[in-house]
Amino acid sequence: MKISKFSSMLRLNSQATIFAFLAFIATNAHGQTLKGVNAEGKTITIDSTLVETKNKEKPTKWIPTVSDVKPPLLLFQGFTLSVDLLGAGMRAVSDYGNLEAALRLNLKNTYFPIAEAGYANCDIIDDNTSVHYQTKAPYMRIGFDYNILKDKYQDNRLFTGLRYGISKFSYDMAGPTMTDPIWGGSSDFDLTGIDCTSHWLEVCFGCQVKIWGSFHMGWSIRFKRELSSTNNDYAKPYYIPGYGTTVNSSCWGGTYNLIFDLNWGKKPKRK
Amino acid sequence: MKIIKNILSAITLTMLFVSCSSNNCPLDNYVSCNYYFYDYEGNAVTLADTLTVTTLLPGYKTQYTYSKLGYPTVTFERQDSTYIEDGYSEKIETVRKDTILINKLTNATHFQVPMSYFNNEDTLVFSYASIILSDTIKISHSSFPHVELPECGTYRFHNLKNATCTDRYIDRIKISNAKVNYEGNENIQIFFNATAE
Repeated sequence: MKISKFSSMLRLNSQATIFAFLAFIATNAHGQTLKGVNAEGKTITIDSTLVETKNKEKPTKWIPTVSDVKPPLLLFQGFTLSVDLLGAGMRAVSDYGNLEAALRLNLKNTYFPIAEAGYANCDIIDDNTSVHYQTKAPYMRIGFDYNILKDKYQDNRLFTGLRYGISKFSYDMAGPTMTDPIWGGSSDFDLTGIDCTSHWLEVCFGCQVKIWGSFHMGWSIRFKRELSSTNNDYAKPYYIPGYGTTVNSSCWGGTYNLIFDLNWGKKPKRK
Repeated sequence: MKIIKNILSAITLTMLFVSCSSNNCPLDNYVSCNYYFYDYEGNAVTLADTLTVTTLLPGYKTQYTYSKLGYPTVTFERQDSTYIEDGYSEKIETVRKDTILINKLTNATHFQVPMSYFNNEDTLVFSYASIILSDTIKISHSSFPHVELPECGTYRFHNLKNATCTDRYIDRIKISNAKVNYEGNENIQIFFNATAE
């Protein structure tokens, strides 16, 4: 009786028929395997347990269990030591470069106060004008990085940060002999030991990824802006250690770092 | 996904080594001392007279002058025998190594002339078309080399110390900006014995 009633309903379109079929089974044949005929006249077998699963109400919001809640991060997570490989490589293939190391504190895997120090040198002769510029001096930067990744527990980090840099250096500049075309006379162009102190700011963006154990590698790109340099009537510094060339009042730079991560205390394991 | 990461890494690494090259040297890089004209009352004027500026150079030179009746007289710093073959008479004399810096300047509000690299004082002689007499200006200065960027080459900048003049056509002169460089600022004001009409 019920089956014949159901069969007459299958005369409607196929989709409506299937839903009606399922509803019928749910209300009339709970816990049984039933057979029916669809619109095309084919026999269909339905397991009533599937119907129960389909109709079960699903949760609309994920509620973490006790095992999902991560323990809070300690404030002091250790520090990292890093060396810049890009500066050393630049020195090998170009007229200037630097050796640089950095010490960075790790606060909650989020805030990273950092101090960078290095020694840079530049020795360049312009091909067209034969002007020779030379300097070598230490420099220092202080600032901080901020880990912008949402998951602070993982070993990889994505940074944005700010630096203040300073370098006190002296430079030499020499050029071809200067000859007065009208009044005559000539003199060597040779300036040595011009003292200069430069200050600058850097906005940086970078990342670091875990390579092996506590070793990480990472890079950063930096937008640098010169704040001030000691004025001199004779010349202005072409290259500031730690900053770069002074062709414009701002420049771009970068680092490629090998990083050794020293963690303080036990780092919570991620589930 | 891994391929995309590798490509992005390669692009990032490549961009670190890519650089652009441009020349950042000043376009107007002529170092000159700029003289501006004023009348007696200090109004900027356009000089209606024709002005020639000559500077005195140290030392002497031999000058050859060739003249022939009915033909213009010509002067050279080296001997030219073709004029003698054409019937010119030759006059050899030793003269100062003076040189003309500005030749017959008219209707000008200012002029610019270079300064000596290694002398402490430059002497300029102002000759006018309207009067026979001339004025002499003496500018005391110091000079020093300057490099903006190695790619821009070397320049010689000057600092003006003192300026004096004779008073035939010129009333007085004044240093308005002691730094002589390639920025084109007014350096010396010349006040003539006249008022603007």
